[in-house]
Amino acid sequence: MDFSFKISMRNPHILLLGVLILLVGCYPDIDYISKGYTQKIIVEGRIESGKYPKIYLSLNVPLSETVDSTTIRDKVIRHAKVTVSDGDVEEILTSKWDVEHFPPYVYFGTEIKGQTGKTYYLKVEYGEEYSGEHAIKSETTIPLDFQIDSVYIEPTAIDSLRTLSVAINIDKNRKNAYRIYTRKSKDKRYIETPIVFNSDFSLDGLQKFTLSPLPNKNDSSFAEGKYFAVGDIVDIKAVAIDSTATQFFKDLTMFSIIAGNISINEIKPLSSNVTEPGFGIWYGCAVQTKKIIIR
Amino acid sequence: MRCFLTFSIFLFYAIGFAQTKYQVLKDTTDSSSIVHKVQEIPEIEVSSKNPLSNIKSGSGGVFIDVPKLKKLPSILGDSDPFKALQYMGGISQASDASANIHVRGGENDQNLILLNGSPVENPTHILGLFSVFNPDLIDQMQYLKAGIPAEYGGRLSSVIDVKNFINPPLNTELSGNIGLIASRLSLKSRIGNRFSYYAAARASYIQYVVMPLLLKLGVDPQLTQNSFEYYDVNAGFNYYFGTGTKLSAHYYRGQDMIQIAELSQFSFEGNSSRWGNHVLGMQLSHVFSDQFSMLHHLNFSGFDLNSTMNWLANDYRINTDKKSYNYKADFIYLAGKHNIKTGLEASFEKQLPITIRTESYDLQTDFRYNRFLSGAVYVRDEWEMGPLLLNVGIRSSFYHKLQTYTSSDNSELNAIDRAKSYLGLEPRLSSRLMLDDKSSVKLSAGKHYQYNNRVQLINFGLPIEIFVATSSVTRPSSLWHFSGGYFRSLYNNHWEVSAEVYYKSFSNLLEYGGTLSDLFSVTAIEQLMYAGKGHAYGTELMLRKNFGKIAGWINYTLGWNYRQFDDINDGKRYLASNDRRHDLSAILMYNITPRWNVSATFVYATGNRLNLPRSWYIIDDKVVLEFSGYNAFKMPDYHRLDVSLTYKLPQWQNIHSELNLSIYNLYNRANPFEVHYSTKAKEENNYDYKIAMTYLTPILPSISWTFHLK
Repeated sequence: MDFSFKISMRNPHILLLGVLILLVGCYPDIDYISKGYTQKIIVEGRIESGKYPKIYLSLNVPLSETVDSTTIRDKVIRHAKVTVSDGDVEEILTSKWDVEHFPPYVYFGTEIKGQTGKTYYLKVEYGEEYSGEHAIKSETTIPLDFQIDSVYIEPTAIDSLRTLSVAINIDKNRKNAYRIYTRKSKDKRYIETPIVFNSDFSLDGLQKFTLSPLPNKNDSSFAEGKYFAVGDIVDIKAVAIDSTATQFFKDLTMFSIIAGNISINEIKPLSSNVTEPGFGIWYGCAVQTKKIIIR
Repeated sequence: MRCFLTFSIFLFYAIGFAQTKYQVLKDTTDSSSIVHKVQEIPEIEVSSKNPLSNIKSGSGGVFIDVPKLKKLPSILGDSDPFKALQYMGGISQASDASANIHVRGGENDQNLILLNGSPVENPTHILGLFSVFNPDLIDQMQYLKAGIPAEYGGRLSSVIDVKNFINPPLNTELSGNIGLIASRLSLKSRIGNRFSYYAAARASYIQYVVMPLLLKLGVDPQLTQNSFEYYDVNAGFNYYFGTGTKLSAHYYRGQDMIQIAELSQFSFEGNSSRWGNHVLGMQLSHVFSDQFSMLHHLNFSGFDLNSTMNWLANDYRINTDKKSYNYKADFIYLAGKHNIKTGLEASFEKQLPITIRTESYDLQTDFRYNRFLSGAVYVRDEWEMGPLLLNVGIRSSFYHKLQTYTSSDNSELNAIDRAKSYLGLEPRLSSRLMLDDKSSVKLSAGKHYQYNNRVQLINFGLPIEIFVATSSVTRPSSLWHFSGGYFRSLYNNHWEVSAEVYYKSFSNLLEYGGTLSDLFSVTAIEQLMYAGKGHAYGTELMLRKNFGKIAGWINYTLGWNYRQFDDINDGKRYLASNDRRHDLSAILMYNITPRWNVSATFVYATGNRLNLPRSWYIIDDKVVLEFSGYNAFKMPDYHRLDVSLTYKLPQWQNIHSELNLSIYNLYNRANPFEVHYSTKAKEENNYDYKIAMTYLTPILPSISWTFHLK
């Protein structure tokens, strides 16, 4: 039997260079000018059961504009007239700086407190351009009251850490979703378990949700990640929101993960419930809290 | 080519069908040309010198000279005939380091890619850097972009027909390639005169060889935790019964594996993905007489993807899967000046659009396998009347989707899910009129249906696409394609010019219309699809020099490609993402001496269209981008020059060898691989959001030494 044999050998150094380049990549800026920029009033407003409304207003920023920690304040709206009404009582909100939040300026009420099952109306007037007929309007209803049925603390592979779950009795017909926050005693703030992981309108009856807070590097509990340390005292805050707000925050969560990262057909704008030229969300929250010690 | 012809003639004799009137010019498994008439031999004589000549060919396709394409410089020093298709007219490359193929404005999933007659779903390995076709095994490639005859169907835009092991060796042949990234080994042999077989395997081992080296070179250890690997295996045989009957079979299995330890840029970590094709096919051909032959195909094709990734501290599993079982029969009858071909095919397919679920099943998509039957019968006649060659055919395609879900109280789902059938009539016509012995005019028109789509979800190297089958709400995609051209050879066939025009009208194209989170809130994927139409038109010019010390060609395409969806861009027409106003490719090959030759390739293309944001805002502590009009942004133009220099070393004993130096992207053009948005600084309260692009391949020299032992 006659054999013919052929082998070719590529230069390994060049291949190495190729792989190196593939892994490292390069990130040059490209020339880009924002096309068709139109100014929008960004509205983030909520009214919780038992609490006064809070509204934050800002302007969208053209992508071609560089904004630093000083100039970003120019994008904060501080001279709007914000009115909240429950249908009977109408209140013009007062305002102040709120450095714990961005935008760092809050419009808040002192008269109207949220009640479950009740509808609230928002009106934002800003300069002559956005007043009267052109005022930005929205309405929302605080969902009906609900209960956190039970809390589960379960072991992990690491002795000192636990997972935390809550069980909520869900009435499917309400079409509510639940944003769940936890605050560990070592942290200053509540951290949310992303809503996309625990909202499903087909759920009914008693449902258990595993909590996955995502602390960032500024949080003392950063090293614990989504787990809870034995001995820690944890505040749990569960918030029911309606289907409009659910869709908004689900989209927002995914959008903010995707945006800037992966090229995806994710260009459908968020579903704002605020009239133009405003954009954003005005939503009511039915709130339940629990305090537990991790054992 | 001469060897090819010699072997073909040998094969002809070997199987006992030597006739003075007919010659087997190609392998008998090639159903398009089991028997050709003797008067076509002069054309073959021409094509033996000039395998790319298409003055006399009847349709808008070409048989590709695989050895010639293998000589073109390619990425990482590896020659890949499939990747080299990008230098053909009408084909545009999607982006750098991508083997996605868009033919005359078509989508990537509209190409019928066949391996020995079996469909191949995903034709690339590792971010499109390599094709799944083992270069050692490819004997023949056919590329059809217009005038697609009635025997082909199921995809709208093109046919790329790859054939392995058409030319079994007379003796045992072992060939291989050993490299730092991957190696391949293939064996071709025969037992007796009747049975020939092959087996081949390729595998990469980046994490075992390259990564340790990178570590030693001081590269960030984090990077070396990532790995990109692939393997594939091929096997097959041919058996000649000696009664005009041939049985052949082929098997292909390939898989890609990517592991990414952490990519903060992409907000996820612990990504591990595996995907690959599975192909198994068998053909039985029989030649009854000089006039009549038949061919039966039995095929299985599969594709699956399994990915795990950690997003926001939750483990996700992503899975897509598709399996297709196909039978096809072709019958060829030669009667005078008629070459009549008829046949039928039937397929059963099941495909999982996509599943995404958390490890703990807290959240999961509800999509289930879609199952459907499809089939077609066709007949076509290639009729030569003096200078006129007509190929007239009709294909009748049938599709039936089976019900997926048990009936529920969800009326919307019931309406989508109900069993549904479609019938499509696909007339095909192509003609060639020889004006004289040097020039011809060609016209073609055809209707095509596609019942099965892959809709892109994430454009990130991983083939995360959604399988969407035609249903009661997603109607079959269809295309009317009209094409015409003038072809002329000059200076005793040393030069060749052509000019072609085309117009394509697409209906029921699909785009994913939801957000990622919507995948979790619907039961049927069809609920998230937008349907629309499109049209593309353009002209293709070609100038080619066929012989001499200098040979090569230039292809230029001027094209427009539009889409119009009621639910996108407020219903207004917009440019498709693969719109390419200008697309140019040029090849130059210069034999300096019998030992030295140099080649160069140049490509230029208008940048892809894409969606980019025009502003951003912060809400609920999250940065949100606001987008401008659909596909309103154009990426920077793509252009690149590659050169290759080959020196044939003097023969030493029985070793033939050559040295090749090639430089990819000679002038170091930063062609965009992808575009994203980034902040320059990591500190808080810095909102310097910018559009940035990644480029993958700067200037990339490579050197290779190839030797043959006989």
